[in-house]
Amino acid sequence: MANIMVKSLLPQGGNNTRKLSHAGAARIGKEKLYPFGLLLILLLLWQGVCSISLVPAFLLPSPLNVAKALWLAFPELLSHSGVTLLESLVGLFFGLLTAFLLAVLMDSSPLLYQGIYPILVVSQTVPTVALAPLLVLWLGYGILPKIVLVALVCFFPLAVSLLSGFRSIDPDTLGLFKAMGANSRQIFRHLKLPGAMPGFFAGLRVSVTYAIVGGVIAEWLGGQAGLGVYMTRVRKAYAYDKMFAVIVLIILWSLTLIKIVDLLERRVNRWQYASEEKLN
Amino acid sequence: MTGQVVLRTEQITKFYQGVPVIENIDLEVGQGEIVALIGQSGVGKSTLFNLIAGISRPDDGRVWLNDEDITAKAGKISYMQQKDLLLPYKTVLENVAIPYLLAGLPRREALARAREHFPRFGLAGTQDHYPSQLSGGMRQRAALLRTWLFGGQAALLDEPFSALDPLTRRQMHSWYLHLMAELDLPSLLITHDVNEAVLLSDRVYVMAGSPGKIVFCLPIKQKRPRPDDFELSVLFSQAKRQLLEFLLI
Ligand SMILES: Nc1ncnc2c1ncn2[C@@H]1O[C@H](COP(=O)(O)OP(=O)(O)OP(=O)(O)O)[C@@H](O)[C@H]1O
Ligand SMILES: [Mg+2]
Repeated sequence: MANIMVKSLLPQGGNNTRKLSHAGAARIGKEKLYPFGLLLILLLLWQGVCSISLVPAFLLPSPLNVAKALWLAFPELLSHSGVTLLESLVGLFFGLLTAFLLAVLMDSSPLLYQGIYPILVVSQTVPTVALAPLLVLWLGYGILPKIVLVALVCFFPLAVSLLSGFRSIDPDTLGLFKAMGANSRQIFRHLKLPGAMPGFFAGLRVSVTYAIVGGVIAEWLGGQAGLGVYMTRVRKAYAYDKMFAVIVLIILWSLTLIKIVDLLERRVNRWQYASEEKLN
Repeated sequence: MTGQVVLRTEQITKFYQGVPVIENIDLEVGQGEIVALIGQSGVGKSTLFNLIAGISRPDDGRVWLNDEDITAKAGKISYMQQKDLLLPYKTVLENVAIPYLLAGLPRREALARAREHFPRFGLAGTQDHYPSQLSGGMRQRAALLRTWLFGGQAALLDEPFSALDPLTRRQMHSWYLHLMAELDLPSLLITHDVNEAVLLSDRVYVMAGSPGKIVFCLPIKQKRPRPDDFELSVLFSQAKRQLLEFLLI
């Protein structure tokens, strides 16, 4: 009986959840066209400059020549890409692992935080690229120095984004969890970790591009295979069209990884896209 | 007072940076009672609630729950804070089930048990939405459901309705009274609104001064459930006048 009365007294509109207008959906496609249009114009200009021979062809290959080089060397480039991607992803993994562990450690104790944070920041002024020759010296020409360099490069943005995420939880929400008797493991699981995710993905997006570039640079200093190794070879042969082809490929790989991170983020931070999803 | 005392504070005093914020607070909540606490902004109402909830430790005094000393012991009383504090990255169902998860129930069971209470709290159909998709009134009811599922023997509600527009607030008042009649959960409720205090509670404490002290305690003699025109009664306006006198010193 009481139940029925309660229901009849409820504020109206049991499912009046906020709805977004449909207007945004159509515009998104158009906005994406603008940068592509601009890019096309720039490519046409570049092609024009090369076609009327303003610059010698061996110094600046035309976009068409680059595309042709990319097409012809594609199978070879693909196998080199495999090596570079492996180094980048394994390095990224270890960079992420250390960043996560260190962030958790620093978050758990103010003493560790105060001790380590300044060192962490100063360590970033060390030019990581300049470490590459040393790493080769210590670790040889194999895959290991490349992985270590990538891990070093990726480590900082990940550690900082995780750490600041862990430390920026709302004190009132923390109070609520304490009032409900939550222990520190539960506070980490339900508050700190999910709260750090948006910042973490910003850090990860930066890190994946660092990872590819870090891998390529490490390969410049020697190795059997990889996009960086290929780059040094074609440079020595003055094959600048192939050089450009590698650069284009590196860009494509970076974009692919960023896209994967974006897709991952949409899954993990699903709540941020909740109102968009309601449109479907 | 109806029946036996469930929650009692004894001479609670709290300092912030050497300055007393609240001093010698004595109050009690009996079985089945709704007790209101009113006072101007900054008088130390939320501070008192944090002390009762055990989140912070009083500099002097004790908190009793039945016959247990729960001073500075968190995790004993259901506490709904001034903000709804729903986690934006959890669905409404996951948010509401947090007390069960913290108690160590397996996730599946926690969610299933929390789900059962959605209709009664007027939240049917919102389980899989995110808090940002809910209206203010619904968020407040979700926070209230989470508070209730915590299962403490008494509840602290810090301005549960103050963020709502007047119309929604009126609806929430009658909904809340019916809910309380069902749940029978002794509650201590902070409000700025004298009307709300008289309308909802069996007893009203007035807090005033600096440091904040309990300056007045007024029983509201009308039994619950109250008639619909209670707000228009002489008893209501008399109670209101008495409270305002003490509030506006
Ligand atoms: N952590 C803190 N450190 C120092 N001072 C504090 C702290 N928390 C609250 N205060 C002070 O204690 C006093 C009481 O604050 P409190 O939040 O308890 O007031 P309130 O009665 O709940 O006010 P409101 O009705 O606006 O919510 C205020 O003057 C506030 O500035
Ligand atoms: Mg307050």
